[in-house]
Amino acid sequence: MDTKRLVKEFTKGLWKEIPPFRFVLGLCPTLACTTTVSDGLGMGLCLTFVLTCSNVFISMLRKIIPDEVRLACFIVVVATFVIIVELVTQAYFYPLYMSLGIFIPLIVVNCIPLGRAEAFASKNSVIYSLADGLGMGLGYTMSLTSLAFFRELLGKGTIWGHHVMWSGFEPLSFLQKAPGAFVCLGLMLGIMNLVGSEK
Amino acid sequence: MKDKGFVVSVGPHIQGRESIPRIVYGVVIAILPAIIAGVYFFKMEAVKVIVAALVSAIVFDALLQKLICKKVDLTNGHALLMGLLFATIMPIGVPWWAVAAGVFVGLLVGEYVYGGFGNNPFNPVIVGWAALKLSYPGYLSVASSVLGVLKLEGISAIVEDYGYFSDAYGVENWSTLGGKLKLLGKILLGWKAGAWGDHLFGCVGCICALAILIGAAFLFIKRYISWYAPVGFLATILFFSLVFYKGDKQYLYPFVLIQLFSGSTLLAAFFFVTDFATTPFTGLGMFIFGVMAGLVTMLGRLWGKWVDPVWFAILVANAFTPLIDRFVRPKPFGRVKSSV
Repeated sequence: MDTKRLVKEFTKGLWKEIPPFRFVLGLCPTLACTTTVSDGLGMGLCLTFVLTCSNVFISMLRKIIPDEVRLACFIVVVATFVIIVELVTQAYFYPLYMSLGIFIPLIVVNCIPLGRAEAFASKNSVIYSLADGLGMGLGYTMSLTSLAFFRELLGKGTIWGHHVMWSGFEPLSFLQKAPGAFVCLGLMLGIMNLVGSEK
Repeated sequence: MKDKGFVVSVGPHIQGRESIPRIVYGVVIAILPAIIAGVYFFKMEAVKVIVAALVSAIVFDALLQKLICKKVDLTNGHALLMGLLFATIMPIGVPWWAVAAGVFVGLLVGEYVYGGFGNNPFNPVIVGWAALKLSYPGYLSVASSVLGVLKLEGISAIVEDYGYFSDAYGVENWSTLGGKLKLLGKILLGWKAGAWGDHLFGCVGCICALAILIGAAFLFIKRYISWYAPVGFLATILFFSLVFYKGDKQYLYPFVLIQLFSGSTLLAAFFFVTDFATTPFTGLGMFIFGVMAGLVTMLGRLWGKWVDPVWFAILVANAFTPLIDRFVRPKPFGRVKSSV
């Protein structure tokens, strides 16, 4: 086991290949679940769990899974963990479950777990897949939380449900709606590209 | 060669004095009558909005130019035009910080993310307006303007309950040509205070149709705008308001007049449907663009839930501009049909 490579596989998801901004993948929850910081963080952590577990399992099973039906097998693995997440949030984090709604079951068809399974876990050993899944998941969580931070701060005047703006502040509530989500995402993509291109 | 004063150069050899800053300042002059009328009708209410829009447009324009690493250049008058146009489509009573936020969103999202002045696919003024409309529907509501009353209470309420047209030019007089002209003149001059009870309401630049027409005439004389887009736009509105009018027959005339000469319609027709950067290049393309904007406007006004969807209609039509330009191409000069 190569520690240097392990660190590399973990950190690439945090900046260099951060999923929604570099690959523009998994946009559906990025747009829909970022109205508040708690939603963004919750969605990100759900996905991190599913991604890490599915990466590990698919990596373990990579020699058994026949090539012809690999996508179906990946989906079955991902769906298993999504159901676990759904039941756990329903039991222990009910407000989060209610506010994320359909987007928790929709993690099954999110591009990121499937993409990492296909591109990474089915070709690499368990420990690297674990690092990759964890890094990608945390990167995704970071992106969602930062996007949600701006949308909640300017669109609602709150952070994590607490009022932080001055008392006369009237929020720019279009940021809470669908057009605001696209505008915010576009601006962040632009800034990320700008920062990336200067290297 | 040089000694004898010969200059060897490629064409064009005859150049006009027009330049982009000159045209921008021309449009600024053209919008001034509407602004002055707004100040005349609304007094301080309008001044507040105009000052807020102007100051924020100049400040944010300079800031954003700095931010995208361009040389800060405010001499082309673009910030001035942005501020004035933005102020014209703001209803009175919008707080200054909302105006500033709208100008900022309009400049940033509508213009500078695409590379600045002239590169924008959507009209930045309307992008800023749309952001405000979605954020503060209360401030941006035009429900108590003439179009709002028309939409919510109907034309008969305007004539009968408010008695606005009937004081000197009663229903019986509209049948004659003179009465028709008088009514037209009254609508052109603007909505005086007391029209709807004591309160006068509307957008800063939309209150006096005549002032907008004066500005438009200036633009036509200087040939900064062509007739294709405004004609397509106004003809569509005229067609829809004539054909799909559902109310009392005798009120058809004021209904059509309000649809055509309410300020936002004219302002859109001469200042927004004719914008250079966001509309098609060819005459036919401009006409199609105008028809499209008029169509969406009238669909919204007659059957939709928005009081005055004209700005959204222009955004929708803006989105079709590249498509129109793709299909409506000018015929290359001197080209003949190839005969085999």
